[in-house]
Amino acid sequence: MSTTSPVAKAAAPPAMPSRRSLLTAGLVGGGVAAAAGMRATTGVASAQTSVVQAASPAAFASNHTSPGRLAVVYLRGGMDGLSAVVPYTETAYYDARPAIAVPDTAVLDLDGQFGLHPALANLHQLFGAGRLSVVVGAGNLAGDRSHFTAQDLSEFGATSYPADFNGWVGRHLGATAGSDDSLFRSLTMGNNVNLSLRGTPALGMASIEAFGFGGVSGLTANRETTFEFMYAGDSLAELTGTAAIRAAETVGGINGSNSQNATARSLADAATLFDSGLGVEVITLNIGGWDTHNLMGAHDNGTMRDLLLGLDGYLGDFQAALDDGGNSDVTTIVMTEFGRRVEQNGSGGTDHGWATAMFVMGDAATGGVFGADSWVGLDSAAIGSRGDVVPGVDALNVCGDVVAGVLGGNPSVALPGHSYQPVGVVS
Amino acid sequence: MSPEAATAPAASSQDLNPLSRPLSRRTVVKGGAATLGVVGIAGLMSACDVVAGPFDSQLHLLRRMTFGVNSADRARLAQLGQAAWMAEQLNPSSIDTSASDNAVATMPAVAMSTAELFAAYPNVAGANGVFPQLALAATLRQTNSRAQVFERMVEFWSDHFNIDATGRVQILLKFADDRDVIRPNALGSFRELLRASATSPAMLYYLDNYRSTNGRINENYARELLELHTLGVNGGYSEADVVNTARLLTGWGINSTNGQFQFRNGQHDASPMTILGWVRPSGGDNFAHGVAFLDYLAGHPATAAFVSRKIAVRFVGDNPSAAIVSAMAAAWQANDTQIGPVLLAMVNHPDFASAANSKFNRPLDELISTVRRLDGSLVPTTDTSQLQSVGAALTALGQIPFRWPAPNGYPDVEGAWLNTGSLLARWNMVGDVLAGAYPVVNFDPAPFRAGLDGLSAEAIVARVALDVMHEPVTPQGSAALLAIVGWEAADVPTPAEITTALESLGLALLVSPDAQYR
Repeated sequence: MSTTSPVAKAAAPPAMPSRRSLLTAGLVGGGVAAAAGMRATTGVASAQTSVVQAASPAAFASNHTSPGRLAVVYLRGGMDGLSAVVPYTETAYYDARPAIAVPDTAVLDLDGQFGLHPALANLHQLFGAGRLSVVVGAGNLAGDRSHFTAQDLSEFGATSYPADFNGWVGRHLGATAGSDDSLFRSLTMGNNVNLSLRGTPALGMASIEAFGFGGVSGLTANRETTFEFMYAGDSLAELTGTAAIRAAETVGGINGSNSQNATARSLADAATLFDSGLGVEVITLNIGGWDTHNLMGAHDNGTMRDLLLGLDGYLGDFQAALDDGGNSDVTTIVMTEFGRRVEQNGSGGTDHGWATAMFVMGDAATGGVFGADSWVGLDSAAIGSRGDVVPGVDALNVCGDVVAGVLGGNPSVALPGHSYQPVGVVS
Repeated sequence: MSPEAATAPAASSQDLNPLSRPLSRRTVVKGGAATLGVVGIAGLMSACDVVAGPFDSQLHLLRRMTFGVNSADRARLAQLGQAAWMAEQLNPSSIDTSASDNAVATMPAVAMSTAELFAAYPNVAGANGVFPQLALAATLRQTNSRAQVFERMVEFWSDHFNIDATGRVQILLKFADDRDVIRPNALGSFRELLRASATSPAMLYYLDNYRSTNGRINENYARELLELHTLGVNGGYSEADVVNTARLLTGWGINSTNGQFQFRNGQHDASPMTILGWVRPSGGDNFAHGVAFLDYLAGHPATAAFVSRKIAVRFVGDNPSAAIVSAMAAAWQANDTQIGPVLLAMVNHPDFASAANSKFNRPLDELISTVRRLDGSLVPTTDTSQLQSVGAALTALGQIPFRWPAPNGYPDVEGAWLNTGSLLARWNMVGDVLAGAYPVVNFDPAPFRAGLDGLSAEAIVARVALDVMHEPVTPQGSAALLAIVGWEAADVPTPAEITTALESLGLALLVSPDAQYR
């Protein structure tokens, strides 16, 4: 049973003024007093106050002084790094992948050794502008081939299940939490909050447009007031509910994307939220479809080309939206659970492998190719009996670079038990 | 797997499921240290406080083993008692389900053969248009059918043997998988279910085994067969076992003419092999060797433990005790992988009762239980715009049947679903149901309205709460409900006022934290 005092609920007036109008007015006019007054009249339990405070307009501007903000784009399914960033000088690559290799004549050269898939034109342009760090041969040293274990570990920032069960981003944010943090400090665009944010309060938001009190009917009468009464307690569900109400009141004043493409919508909404002045520090989101066991196709048609073309468009549009809004302090890390086997499989695809490529995009990116020095190559001795790209870069170190260089955090806090060695992708 | 697959955030199937760990209060509340000083130690605290009563084992059984408490099933359980009710539920052919069967039968695609579906829906737009018939058939049965435990297990196995019905081929093949693979075996033996799944064209397509041939293997299905369907990720298999399993299942494909399973011996790798403790026989029928290995997996102790635990997570709690899982796994082994005895071992175990009101509803649980609490039903339709509205509603909730992209199925723990957006979506769903926004939802408010005239406000909210929630309202719940409708406890509202207030009371009760848990 909740410890909520019955008085707290009973004391609330039955006919509350519209919170949305009050809060919107507060936001527009900087009316902290109005918001504070509203809070007083609701008589919410003291335990809730911190959530409410967090949502008050005064706190929307984060008090954190981190150098930058972060978007985490997770490619679910295991992105084939060898298709995205091609070691186009290696005979072994072409021998292993007769049907799916990207010809050396087609790649967008990076450094004379590696080249981007021709579908990644926007990324190549960003690389040329010094705004894209490309990491080759990056992997989690656990080398697990289960999607679900590998995803968990990469989001934990660990090589085995950690004692705290928190995520690498969540640990940093949790350790640097303040009493007046924005309610919007971290969130996932999606139906389920990503594991990487575990350890800090985080919102889940499928889209800005859906995040309100209208549902599919568009009817809002009495809903917010009712939700407010029912979630006035201090259980986990009730605190989450209160956070939902506070956040929805605010988001209701923001225009979200109407794209029918869920990924495009998520990224457009993410850019909007970074631009909102609500104190958004980290947004995570997911792009699916990377489990390419089957018919990846040639470089100029087929599944892999389409996936990469989509990714390039999403990331290019996202960076452009951030730049247009003056939010180039946002850095994007692109990661996945594992790469794929060096050799193509029996059906023109690739099975689960190990190391893969990672990207870090934005003004904070150092720019350049990372991991070329430790790249061990793809000949039979190098890939061993597992037939994998063997990691020359520990992917946790790339995360550590982002924690330190983008968020101004301590990698040993975000990645407990990991001996952090900088890669240099952020500067 | 299709390129669409594995899009979803991980929800590990492991024993160490990270999302099953209770979130600390601090993960929601800002300013951890200061807040802890106010509210005390972080940890599990029941969110239920609008209604409460002494533990009611029948109510608990209904909450866990059905899609929500309605009056008819409550009465049936009261009439039979728990043991006889479970016996009846575990023998679904003895239950008259003609009403829900007939309703589903009005949606013709559900009964069409694979060949008929492929002929009738030659492009992806057509397939997308017919898919909501399958989704509505599933949710309609969950809501209306009297064979509730059966439908619960259909849902469970649909997650366990997840197939993402996205894209024309997977949509059209999933119809047969649901009708011919999952439903006939949902309360039979796991061995038969596993055999049916392994030869299901939808599964062979989704996880690419139909293209895996001698010398040109595709590991996708083999890995998920071991990791997700049988042994579990910690079940003791090696990477070599994955490869050998794929080789053993080469030639298990799909007849491109009729869309049925076909074994092609000419594409099969007949090499000798040992996988875990199973040694391939020399000689004999190559297809039978694969079936024998499936049977070996079905009866493997790791499979019994892994699948039993997963069932317990669905019906008992996010972190079921080792004792109840052991009891279930023992029943699995003692009963030749029969599923019914495993469920009986679960509901009869003392730990089943120990965690009442603590299992967080998934979004579809919330939708279906809302309709059932209202003693409502879903109505079938083939109307395009109505089917589109079904799709929109399920999309808003974030749980469309048969549409989880990754092969592990929709997550089943609170940590995966309790977040701000999810709560808003389910609250709005309730409001939309009560506002009549869904043409496929049918319920009659009259029984909830009857007999309220002349009662005090306090008595009215108590009656409505009891009727909707099946438990008595608490003092703080009563105070909140009265405040929402603007009544003092001793008021005697007019009939018109009562009618107006009823929807508000329904909204409050059905969105309450109490309603999010079962």
